[in-house]
Amino acid sequence: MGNILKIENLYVSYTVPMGHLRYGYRKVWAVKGVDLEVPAGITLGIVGGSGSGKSTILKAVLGFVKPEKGKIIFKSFDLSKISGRERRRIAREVGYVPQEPSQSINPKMRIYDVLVEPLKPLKLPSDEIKRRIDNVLEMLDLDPDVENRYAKELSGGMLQRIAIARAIITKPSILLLDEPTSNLDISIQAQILNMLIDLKQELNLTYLFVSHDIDVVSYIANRIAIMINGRVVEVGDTEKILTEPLHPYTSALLNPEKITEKVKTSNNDLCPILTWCPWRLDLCSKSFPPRLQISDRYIYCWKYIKQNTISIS
Amino acid sequence: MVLAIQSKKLSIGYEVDETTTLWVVENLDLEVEHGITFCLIGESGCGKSTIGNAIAGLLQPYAKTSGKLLIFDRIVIDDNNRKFNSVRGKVVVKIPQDPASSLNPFTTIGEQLSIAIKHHYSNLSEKDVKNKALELLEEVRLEKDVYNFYPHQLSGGMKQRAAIALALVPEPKIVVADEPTSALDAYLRFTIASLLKKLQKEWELTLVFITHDISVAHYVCDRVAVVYAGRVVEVGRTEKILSVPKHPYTELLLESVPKRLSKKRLTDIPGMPPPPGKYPSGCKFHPRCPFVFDRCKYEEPLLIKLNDRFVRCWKYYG
Repeated sequence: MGNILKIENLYVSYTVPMGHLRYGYRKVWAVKGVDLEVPAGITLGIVGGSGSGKSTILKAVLGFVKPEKGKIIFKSFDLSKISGRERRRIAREVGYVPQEPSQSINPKMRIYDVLVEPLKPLKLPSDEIKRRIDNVLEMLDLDPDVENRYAKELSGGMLQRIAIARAIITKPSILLLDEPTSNLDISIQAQILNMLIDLKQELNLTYLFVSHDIDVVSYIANRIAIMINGRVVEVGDTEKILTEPLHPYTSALLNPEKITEKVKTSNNDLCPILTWCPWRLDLCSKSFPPRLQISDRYIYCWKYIKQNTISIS
Repeated sequence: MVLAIQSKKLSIGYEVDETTTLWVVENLDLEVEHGITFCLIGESGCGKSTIGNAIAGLLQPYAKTSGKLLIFDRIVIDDNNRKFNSVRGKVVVKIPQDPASSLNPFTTIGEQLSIAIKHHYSNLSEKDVKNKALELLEEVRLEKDVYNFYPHQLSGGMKQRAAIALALVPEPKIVVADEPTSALDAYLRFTIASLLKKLQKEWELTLVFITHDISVAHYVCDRVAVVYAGRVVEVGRTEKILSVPKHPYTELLLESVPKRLSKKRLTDIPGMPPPPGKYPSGCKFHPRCPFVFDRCKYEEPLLIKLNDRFVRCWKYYG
């Protein structure tokens, strides 16, 4: 199975003010040297705490932020290099569902107009537009009358469905989902997750699913990437990650109740969990470990690199 | 057994006009022992926060009440008379859902703590006030430097800790924590939850924990009450209720939460919880219940004792 999306050595930074009463700006690295492969037809879940760089990866794929370094290869196109008309054409194949639908749907537009918006560049005939809108509304179990309503008239769950409808209306091949259920109630969360699973099968989609809730990700994802402080520390099949976590941070994420102290992350170029890692080695305080492949999973940890000399990429 | 909170047929509503009152909570009978963590779980809009606000004495002035609420045997709600002045902010405190909006952005955390300490302990010297503030910061595992920080300089988890420190100033006996972990990521949720659990034990508090996060409830709480349409539908020990639910609503609620390593399709509860004023007749859950029968539609069941718990469902009547 080929990769639909491949991210190689991605670096993304933001420029932020120095702070209150201080002049100037400083650079903050949001993503540091991330490598990820997303095979076609799977769901890759990205899990990590707030500020770990999960959403920035999605923004870099969408072209909302410009990477400093690295490649984002989507179906043989390097998205970090192309721009203009070519970029816009490819953008139609990438759907995006934001975290907060109520903020991403224009309150002054009827839902019909919200759904027409992504179709405008395609210059489709009006009957085709109508057919597509009816089709997505039916697929998402939404009443056809909803197209005449405004965002404020809809509940959180319905708005999230509209956001998903807007993302799939251009018939994308990959859907980037940025915490699509984190603001929803438990029962609505179940509806949306079930619906996403059905849609993926029906439309043969690939998902890049970002969440901080490992239980939600484990329900929907085939593979999971664990992120902390802008770095991916472990990638592998969901079951393997859940049953045999290798990286200490993955173990901590799986059993957060066992850790009573705040997890401190180091901000330099070393391993993000250097300050509290139970296996800390001398090598850890020298450089960030390279990627190590152990069967079909990847791990960034000096302990395993020392133990295994299988294949360091 | 000392009862920290006791409610007798407590109803809470809001007057929308002169003739109409929308009752959010109806005929609530609740008994919470002192020194335990009591959890209220349920979907949004089912009345959890309203119950929490009533216990904390923070009901809006235009709210209407009937029935009785007792805090340590002191009547604080007697029909529409509310006498919270002796307990609010002293015996009972509330930790808000969003610490960012409850901390003053213009003053440092130290200053905010000092104002609260001076209010409650008027005879303390400036030095003692500062020492007490630093002690409280240590208690919630914040560094001493935080004393001089403004809220915007703190992360979400640190803000929540600062809010907890502020709540502890009057040395309360009851703490109402209204979704204290919902604005945090999964990892921080447990660190805040474990901090609350530690404080509850060390300070011998009665912690009323309002959440819709089942895993946090499982971790923190001794007893749990499942709330639906303003009434308790099931109440008992946490491990019993969350491992073997009896009420159909509890069952469906637990089945709609993803479980690690389980690929079983999640159950989505059809429909939405009814809004106040539009509660259906009979059992309030009957329009969404898969086990509904005729009696459920016309007659509301009472909470009955069923071995290790209380359940409100006709299924368990003889």
